[in-house]
Amino acid sequence: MKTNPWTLVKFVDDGTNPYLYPKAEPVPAAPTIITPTSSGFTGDYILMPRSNTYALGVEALRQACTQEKNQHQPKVVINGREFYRQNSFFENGLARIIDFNTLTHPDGTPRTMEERLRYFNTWLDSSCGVAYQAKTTKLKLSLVCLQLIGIDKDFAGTFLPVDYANFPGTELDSSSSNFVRDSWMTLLEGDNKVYQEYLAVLKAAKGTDVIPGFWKRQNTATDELRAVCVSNLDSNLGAYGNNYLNLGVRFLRRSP
Amino acid sequence: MNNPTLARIVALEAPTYRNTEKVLTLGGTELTLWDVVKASLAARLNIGLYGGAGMGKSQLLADVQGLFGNNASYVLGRNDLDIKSLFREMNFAALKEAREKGGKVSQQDLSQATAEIYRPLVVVEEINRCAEIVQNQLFNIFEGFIELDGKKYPLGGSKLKVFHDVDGKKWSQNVRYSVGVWSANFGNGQYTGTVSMDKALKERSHLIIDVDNFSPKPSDLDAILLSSGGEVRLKEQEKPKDKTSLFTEAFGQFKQGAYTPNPQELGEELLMFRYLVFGLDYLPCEAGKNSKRVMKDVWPGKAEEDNIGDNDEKLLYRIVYPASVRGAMSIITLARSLREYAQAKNPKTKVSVMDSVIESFKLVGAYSGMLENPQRIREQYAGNPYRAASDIGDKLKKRLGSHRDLMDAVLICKAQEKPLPKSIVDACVGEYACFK
Repeated sequence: MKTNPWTLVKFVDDGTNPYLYPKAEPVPAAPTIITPTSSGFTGDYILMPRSNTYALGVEALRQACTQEKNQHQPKVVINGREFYRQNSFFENGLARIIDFNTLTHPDGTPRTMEERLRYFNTWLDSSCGVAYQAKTTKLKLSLVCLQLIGIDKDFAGTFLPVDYANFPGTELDSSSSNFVRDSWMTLLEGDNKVYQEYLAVLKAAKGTDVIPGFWKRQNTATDELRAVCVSNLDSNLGAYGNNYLNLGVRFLRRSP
Repeated sequence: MNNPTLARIVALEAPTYRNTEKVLTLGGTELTLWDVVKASLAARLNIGLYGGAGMGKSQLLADVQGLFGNNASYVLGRNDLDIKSLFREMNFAALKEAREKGGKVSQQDLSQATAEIYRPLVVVEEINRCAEIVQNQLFNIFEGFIELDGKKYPLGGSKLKVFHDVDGKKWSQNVRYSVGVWSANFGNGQYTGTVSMDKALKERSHLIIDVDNFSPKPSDLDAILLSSGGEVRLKEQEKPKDKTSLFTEAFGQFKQGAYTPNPQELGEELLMFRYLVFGLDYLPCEAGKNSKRVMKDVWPGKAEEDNIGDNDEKLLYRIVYPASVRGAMSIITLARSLREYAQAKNPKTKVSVMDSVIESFKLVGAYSGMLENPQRIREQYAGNPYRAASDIGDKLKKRLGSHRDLMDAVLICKAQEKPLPKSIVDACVGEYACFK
């Protein structure tokens, strides 16, 4: 008898399951205007090891940046104290695109497609916070979220408590038909060029037009704050706003 | 796919018992109490019949005995019950030999099992008229064996059958068939001398039906009165045809089906099995590791006091205790049997695994110890566990139905031996974490 009973299972994949094939949304016609908050960087990046919780990942980033006296990783001041911060969602997007468009190594040898896609083939967590209003479909996106940047290293809960009414950010309604477009434009700080590059990479990888989705929560029992990460190509580069803060995270760090 | 053995079992009519009231509907096919009892027997599931006096339990038991040619060990629940005495006889030959040779004979050698052990059916009437400690003697009987002086004797006759697994490997095995059925009077204290039954015995009973939930229809009463022959007492069949071999054959086919499961049904069965044991265990309370089992000393009080959950969740968190592995096996086995029985009764019937498991849960879960908040059952369901199980079953179906895409996505990935993508892993949280 085979030991793995799942090998006996027959189940038809008709290519319509939303978890495996998220529904495509129309390409945005007019991007939402958002005040940019991210900083540009064209140098190298370091993909950090996976941490077991969001807080531990943030702590590892802080420690690495402090040790190497990192001059490029952005910082913020919280309550008079300076913190290295995680890349924003948009900065992760820029890092991916710049790295993908780098066709050769410093010695002039060509980079393979696998090398160019290295940041597309991993999940990247960000400083972007998503606050959900209890028992509604409303949420706010904060691109550089101070609560997440200053998170205590021992925090191991699934989400941070938050006062939604006083949480700063761009408010969206996830029941809106334009939600996916609006949320992506907010996360990419209105940069349609980066978005189009994302779509191009995705199309090249999948062989068809795929629009990345936004995974959200609705009607939560209480107001809650989570972090938004961007998925890999296997998961169609979706933005995940429903992640648990006590699951694994992986950050991209700028070279010192 | 029609099963000819089950089709023959479907065709077996109850000689005296009359009740056309529907117990459940699967794929549009209605099953009565007689159908459910036969489907359970075909899967070698023990059955408990529970309810007020005089509504047909004993007649149903008598008709069940008729299916086995009245070849049953019959036990009446009383406090002086000594179940072993039914199966043990003295070996006087050993005693004689010891006396003649001046030797010794041990207690074990002095007694031996009687031919009772070969009977396919053990019937226990009025089981709750013996104290729980006496009822405990029946544990082994319902497990299919009797222990006499330190030796285990399997119950029931056996038939050698060749089985094969999915790899084509073949082997021979004796298919042994014995099953236990019992009846009990319960009510609001009107049956003096009755006691409660402990959870372990209930669980070993596999399927307990409160027949008062399925009273005969008025037209059944017409037939009962007209066919009574003026006799009020129980009607036992004289020389009924013994159908034991039919049930043994059906059970052998079920066993084969377990070795070579239907690939289209297996995935959903595996998920449902996980859900019954682990999904229903979920209670969001980090101090108790989100587990009702871990919080068993304070559950369901904790869920009530902390007002955990929203809407339907509250019901699941407060009333439903997760199935044990044995309990979940009973639910899945009965579901398989009901599916095949319904298809044998009406070949056009198409039954989903989830529907059959939910219907099975309603029957098994009601009295197996999975509903454990009597106060709330009294308040919300007039104290009727079956009504509670029925409502909760419908709510579970709705909850699982709303996660159909997630279940399908898990099945697709697992069937293709692919790792689950993050979108699925992230959605498999709470009661659905067991799908991962």
